[in-house]
Amino acid sequence: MQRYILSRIVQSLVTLLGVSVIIFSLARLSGNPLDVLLPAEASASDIERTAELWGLNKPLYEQYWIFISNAVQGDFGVSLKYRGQSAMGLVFQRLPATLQLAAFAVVISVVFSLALGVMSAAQKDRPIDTLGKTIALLGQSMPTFWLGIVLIWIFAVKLAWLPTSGQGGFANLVLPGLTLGWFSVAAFMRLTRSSMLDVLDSEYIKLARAKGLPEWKVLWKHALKNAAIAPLTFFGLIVGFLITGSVTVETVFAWPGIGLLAIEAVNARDYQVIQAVTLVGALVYIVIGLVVDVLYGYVDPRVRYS
Amino acid sequence: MALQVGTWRRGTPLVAAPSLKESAARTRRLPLISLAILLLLLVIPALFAEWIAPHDPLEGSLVARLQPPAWEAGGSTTYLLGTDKQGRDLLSRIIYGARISLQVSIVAVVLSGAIGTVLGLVSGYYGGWVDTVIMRLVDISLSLPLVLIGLVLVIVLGPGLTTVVVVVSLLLWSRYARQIRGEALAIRTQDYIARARVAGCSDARIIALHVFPNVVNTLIVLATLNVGQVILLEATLSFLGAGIPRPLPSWGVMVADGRDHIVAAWWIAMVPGLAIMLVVLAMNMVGDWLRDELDPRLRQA
Amino acid sequence: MRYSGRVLNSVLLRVAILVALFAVACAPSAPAPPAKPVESKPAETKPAAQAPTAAPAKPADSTAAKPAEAAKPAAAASAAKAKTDRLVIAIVTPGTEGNAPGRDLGAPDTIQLRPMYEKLIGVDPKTGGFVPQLAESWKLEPDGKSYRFMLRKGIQFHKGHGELTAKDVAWSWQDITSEGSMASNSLYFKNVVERVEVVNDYEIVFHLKTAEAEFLTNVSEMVGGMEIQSKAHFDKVGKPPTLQDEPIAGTGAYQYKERVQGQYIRFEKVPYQHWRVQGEFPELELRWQNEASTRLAALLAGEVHMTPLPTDLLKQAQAQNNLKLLKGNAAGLRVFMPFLCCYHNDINDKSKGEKYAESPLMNVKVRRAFNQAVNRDELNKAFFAGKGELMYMNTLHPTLPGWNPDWEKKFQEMWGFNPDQAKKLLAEAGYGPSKPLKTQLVPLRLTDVPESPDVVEAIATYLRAVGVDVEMVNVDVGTHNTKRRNLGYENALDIRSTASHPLTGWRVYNTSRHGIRGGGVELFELDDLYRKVATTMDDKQSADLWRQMGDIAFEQYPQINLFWLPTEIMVNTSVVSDYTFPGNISGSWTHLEGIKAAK
Repeated sequence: MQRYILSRIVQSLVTLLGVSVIIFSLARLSGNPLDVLLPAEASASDIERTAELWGLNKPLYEQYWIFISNAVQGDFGVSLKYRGQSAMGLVFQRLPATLQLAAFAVVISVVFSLALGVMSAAQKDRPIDTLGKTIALLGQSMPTFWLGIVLIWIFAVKLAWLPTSGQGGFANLVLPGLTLGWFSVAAFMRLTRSSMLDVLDSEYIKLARAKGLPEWKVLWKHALKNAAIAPLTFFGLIVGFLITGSVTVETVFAWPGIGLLAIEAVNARDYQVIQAVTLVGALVYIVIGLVVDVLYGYVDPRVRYS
Repeated sequence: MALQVGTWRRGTPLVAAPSLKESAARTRRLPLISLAILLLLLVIPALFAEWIAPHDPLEGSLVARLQPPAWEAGGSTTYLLGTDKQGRDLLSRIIYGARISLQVSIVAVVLSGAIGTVLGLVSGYYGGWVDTVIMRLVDISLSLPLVLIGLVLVIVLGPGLTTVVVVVSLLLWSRYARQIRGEALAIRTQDYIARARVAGCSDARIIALHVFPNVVNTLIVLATLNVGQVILLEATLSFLGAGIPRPLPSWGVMVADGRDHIVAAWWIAMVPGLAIMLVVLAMNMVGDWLRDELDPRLRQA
Repeated sequence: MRYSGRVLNSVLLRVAILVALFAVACAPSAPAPPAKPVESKPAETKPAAQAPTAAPAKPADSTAAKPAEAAKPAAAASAAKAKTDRLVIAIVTPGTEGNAPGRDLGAPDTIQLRPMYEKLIGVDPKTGGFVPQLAESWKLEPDGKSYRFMLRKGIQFHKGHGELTAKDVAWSWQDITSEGSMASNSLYFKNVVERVEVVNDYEIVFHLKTAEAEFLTNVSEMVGGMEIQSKAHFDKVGKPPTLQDEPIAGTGAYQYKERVQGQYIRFEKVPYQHWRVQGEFPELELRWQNEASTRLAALLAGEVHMTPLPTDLLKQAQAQNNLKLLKGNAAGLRVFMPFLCCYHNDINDKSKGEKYAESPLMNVKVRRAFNQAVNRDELNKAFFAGKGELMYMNTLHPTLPGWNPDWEKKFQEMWGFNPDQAKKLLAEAGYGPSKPLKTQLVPLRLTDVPESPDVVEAIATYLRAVGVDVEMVNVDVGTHNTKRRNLGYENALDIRSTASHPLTGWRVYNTSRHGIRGGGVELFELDDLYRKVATTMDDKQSADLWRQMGDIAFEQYPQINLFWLPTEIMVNTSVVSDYTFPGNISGSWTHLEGIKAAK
């Protein structure tokens, strides 16, 4: 078991390093931030001079080395768009907002997919099953930004039940959370459904029923507990996705999280921030994957020896 | 969305021929509605756009801009679904947009499928350090935030139809690789593979003739499910300004164009959004059905 | 599998309970619907209706030290009070966010700190002309290249940082010319000012290297950068402020309160009687929201009180009866499409030729044809609801000196919509079906003119109608600017909007010898004339020179002229009763301290 954990950690570090190289080269290749940040009236020599000042003229490998050696100490450089603020500082400042949104979206999707998944498994191949599958699939088929815009107009403008955008109280969380969460309901629900079906077919469930236990206990206490294992893997992926995939939702709802930060950084060619956001996102994803794999390793011994 | 479930089970090498009753039962479960949707919204418009579209999708008349669909007040039958802000006919744009969606999704799926399958097969079959390297690449690809990297890549490569296809393929190949690798790993230990090796077949031959045919089903299922993902990803990139360039009528660009007008001229964003949703939904349903059909192991019954 | 109805019921019951919980939790806690914009705490007294002394200048609450809190108990005694404690203005996110106006912010971004600073020379919100601000008076010295400013006495910096003196002005100039400054006119000041002489506490002289007609504009409210900051405050802090520090104190009617990057910046009314304007709102917030539809939704819901909107969305906004469109008083923005093609190989030597001599756009007839292919009336009606004013001459306006009425008279014949004439010209230039004319259009999305990509697409249609093969180049701003600055475009047009002073306009878009290239067609004659105008201090002479430049430009077609657009903002009349602003200053929303509250 120890060896398994160790090897997984080493794998994760390698992955992280790979991500850093890719995002570094891509960000640099995407162009000169000064062309975006300096006003249209700036001349070519203005840009040269400012580039010199900010160390943007050094050779790439030197810049990468500076980047990596500082990064391991937690220093991701200084943002060009938000003058004077450290890139990591920006990320940490905005991360809680995304986490809050992601957490809420996860709660929504877990609740709905569990409910839908169990119901569908219970009523397999009947109309409710199809309905459940369709509702879930709908979430996966709609462009997130479109859904967000439509929800804003229906619930925030026409009905005025909820605020239109921005972060605030619980009410502000609902629409963006719904938009973000619905997407993952489908896959999660299907997984729940299939595991439930597998488990419901097994011996000890038949035994429980034979013993005369009430149906709801069979479903919720015994079946679900065991069926939850497979969705566990997916859960990790979902959380990772939600954090890194929130760009569109945050754009539409002006939610001040790292998704919005990232897209602003891309548009402004704010290298340091692009790198910081990507690496933090990748780190979260990798760590969650690691945790899930380790848990899986405990549960399913076959995995350890693959 | 490909399900990366950690368990993999041994496959059954042969499938018994279905009885007549079983075939009939299966045909009844054909997702007819989904197939019809796909035909109507995607395939037919894409193939016959020139004959069906009433107007030129690229040239508009400013005088006719922002006209509502024919059934609303102020609409006319000249522009059945209304016009957009350049005065271009929405129906024609949707029809030609189907072609673009189909083109992009087919090419992207084939490209990412090809890359992913080859790498997955090689990785699963050889194992060892080849496997490790390729799996690390897969991990890296999966950890990169999709939309962000897509945006940056489009900036680096310059805008255009080709760029979008390349970007989407680069983002999605890893979803195939992981699944295929799992299958290849399981198959590798089978008896008939050992026999083929003993008989002196080259590795390439074994992979192509013995391993690949057994993963084809998974591949088909993944590919079908992936089409929807591709269309959505392209639409998202277009929404964020890094997708199919104007004035090409990609559905994603059309929704992005219409977002400012969502109240007064709702049809500009709603109609293409609806088209995307229906096509992806239908695709997913077909994919589900295919999975149930082709791959008993992944069947959820 | 057959499960009893009881099971199904229990599952449904669980789901129903969860849904109910969510519904309860989701009960709106948030903002009031549009009809009631009052955001303040319920215990407020509202003496507005009764107070007979409704004179807005009554400063009864200025004695308290803490502005917002003290204002409330004093409300009953003071004049009519604003209905909202915090005025929220939603605008597009600035490109850069920073706290040091002289170092961090380029021209349009200076709006984020504007309410807290003042300049030597102000701009009259009604006429758009110069008025004294921190300088009581100024004059050009006999040598023709120095300006003496007499400063107003008794002006206080925020938060107790002392009185304004010439030393602060000198320091502010030093700040803007410091190495690496991103301010738009940093280089201008560096190149143009030889030295700054502090005569005494209230007198300061700027000695320039040569005569400079643009100098006064650059120290005025027309251009951001020369915000007067407190030297004492800077000395105390010791370093330029980053986004996490507080900006250096200014003298404006509002002082800095707080900011959250990426979201908003907040100002509060100064707790004393301001020498010039008393802000009518206790707090002012500039909120960043890029999505126009989100801004509209927020405006309709009363979350935001003022916001600019693209033309197409105005109708919805105006349908609600407490929302009104307010217009700036000056001519507004110029929108045009410069030709990116024609650069000299040597900016000082005509004989060295042109960089892209073979480009079709080098031919005047082609440039004229492009202009005559465009149906400006149709564009105006379609995208700007007819509000655009036809632009006969780029940078010059009938209200400015140097105007030649011939330009208006001859415009239709020489520049106006005439597709047949356009085709004829192209044929004369040698283009036709056998030798098709290709060109590139860059549909940039301009912050001030969100309709710009649509305008460019429409113009592409017009050009195609006269036989031009148009390729749309869909790059983003950064890539485009790089290529443009490096003179990489051989045969292209992009789209620009600017509110700049004519001198700046000529300099940026039509000259080559003044540090900036890549803005548009380079014409040797214009370069020579520009140098003369820039150093001419005599008004009559400069008017004459401007007319000469205009005449040349009229014949040479350096861009596709489009419109002068009024600067407009949607306002919630339940909260705001009036807002007077010129609208021709970069960043558009100036004079925020003068916004009048609805009573």
